[in-house]
Amino acid sequence: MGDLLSTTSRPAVTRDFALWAATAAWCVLAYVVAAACFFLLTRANTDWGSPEWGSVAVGPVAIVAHSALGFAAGRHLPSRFTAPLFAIAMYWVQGLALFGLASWTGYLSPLGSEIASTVFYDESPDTVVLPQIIWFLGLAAVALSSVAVGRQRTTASWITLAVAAVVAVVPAVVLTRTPVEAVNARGTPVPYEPACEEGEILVCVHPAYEMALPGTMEVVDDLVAPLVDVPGAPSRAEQRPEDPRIRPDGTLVYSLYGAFHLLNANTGYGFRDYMEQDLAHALVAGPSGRIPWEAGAYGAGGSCRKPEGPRGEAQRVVAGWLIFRTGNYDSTHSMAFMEATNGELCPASEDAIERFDALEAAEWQAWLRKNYAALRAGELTLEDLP
Amino acid sequence: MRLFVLFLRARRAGYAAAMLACVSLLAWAAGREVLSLPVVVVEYLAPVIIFLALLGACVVAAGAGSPFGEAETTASFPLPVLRFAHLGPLLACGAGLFLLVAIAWDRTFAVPLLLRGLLGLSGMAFIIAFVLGSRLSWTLPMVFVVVIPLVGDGSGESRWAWWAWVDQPAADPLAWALATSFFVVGFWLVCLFRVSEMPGRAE
Repeated sequence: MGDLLSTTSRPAVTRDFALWAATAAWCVLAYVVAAACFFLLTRANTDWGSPEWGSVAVGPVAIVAHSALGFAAGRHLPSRFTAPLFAIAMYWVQGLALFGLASWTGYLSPLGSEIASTVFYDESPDTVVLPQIIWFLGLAAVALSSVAVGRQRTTASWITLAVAAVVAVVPAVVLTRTPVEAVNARGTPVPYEPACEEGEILVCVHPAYEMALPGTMEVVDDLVAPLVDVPGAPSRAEQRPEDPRIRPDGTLVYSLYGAFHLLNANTGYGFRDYMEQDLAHALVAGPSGRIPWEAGAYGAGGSCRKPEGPRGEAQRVVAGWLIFRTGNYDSTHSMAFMEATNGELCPASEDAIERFDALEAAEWQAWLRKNYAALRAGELTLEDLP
Repeated sequence: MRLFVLFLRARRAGYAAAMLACVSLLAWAAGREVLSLPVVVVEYLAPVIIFLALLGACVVAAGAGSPFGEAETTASFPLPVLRFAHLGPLLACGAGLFLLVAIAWDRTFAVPLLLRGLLGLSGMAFIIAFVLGSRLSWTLPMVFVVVIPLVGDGSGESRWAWWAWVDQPAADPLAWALATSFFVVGFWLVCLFRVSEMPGRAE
């Protein structure tokens, strides 16, 4: 095909654009097929909500822009290494624009239109969709114009390049001046009817996460079981876009964000690990959802410097015990999010967990009834534990 | 010796080695940046590791073929030996550089993840190089790595599906078995058989 094109009696630029257009069309087709698959998968898992068409529309335009940039890179730097290195580099540039550099670059990435995605608020950044589309079209025009300039250094091709640059720069300026936070701040709560199920306590999730209700309920039940009938313990649990904590009205709020979005195989954490840590943390923390942490309280090898342990260590021990009871406790990572040093407890605290677990049910029930409020208030130390 | 030098030059082996060095340097810097962040390091370093392995695999596999490969088939010297002597040391060079990077990061999980990634992704790239030509060899490994976070979720306690070997924990035996299998098959294919090239557009 390349040989045929090279002998076509058309200008070199036309041949180039035909090759690029064919390549880009295949990529857009792949995008459409993938998007259709994801729609079907989503539809199969939930019937709540509807697609964000703005984000969907940005995708193919971004593909056109990136294929044009890649084509231009290959034309200007012809090498067997250009294609893979450029493709991978662009992938990273998108990620860095979104996460790494600063929020003001976020909307320059096609991923940026997903920044505000949440089921609780209408944060669809519709205001950035059109500038994003123009930005990517401008990028494509710049790339293709540069190819044209490389082929024919005519006044017309230089003018085209200049116009394309302006078309790209203007929306880029608009996008970089649109703070992500400002767009998020315009989000309004979306009304919904939570999906709930009764276990040890009533457990509710957002209807979009109904698929996760059985697994969530299982973890909540396992952790809350020892606290049933304990004064101050939660009476219901509900998924909310907030840090895990017990509200004054007795609702244990939790976010499924970590369980679904922060998982990584190399941490060894699964859905249950995240949920257990989040919930156990919330169950022993005060109303703020935070367990006190004392810098410098840990010695070499994670040992406690003080016999009574650092501040909040009694809360961490009880949280650890709640996880220990489920049979899923791992001293190397079960406490990773509880501000324990290196994600581990002091050796004395590990002993305290085992001591606690060795108690008869009646003994720890009595202890919890008597001390749960003081524990959550952070008034207990390791020495107060049984 | 002259034949071997020409063989390497036709496959840009020098550029490939230089690329591996540049990529390692960049990844080392990116890793240092990640390690300085107040985050759970492993979560953020793992993508750097995986993409470093991917870059290494793509660079090595891109040199598996040559636009003049057809003429070489008339040589009296056994080509599999030349192919092995080209790709083997190049991979070893990449693995050595990556090891240095991993050691500089001082994270124990980095070494096995890097080596396994380089092994398996190179194998994948070699297989595609054999089927579609070396210029397209990067496509499957790239798609594989990028697609896993989208559709590679595991069930139950396992974060990733069994086939998402590149993202599995460093000690996962199935992941190692899959990576090794890809490498053995791919390396065997590109060493024993001529890598086809798309006609035209020679560099």
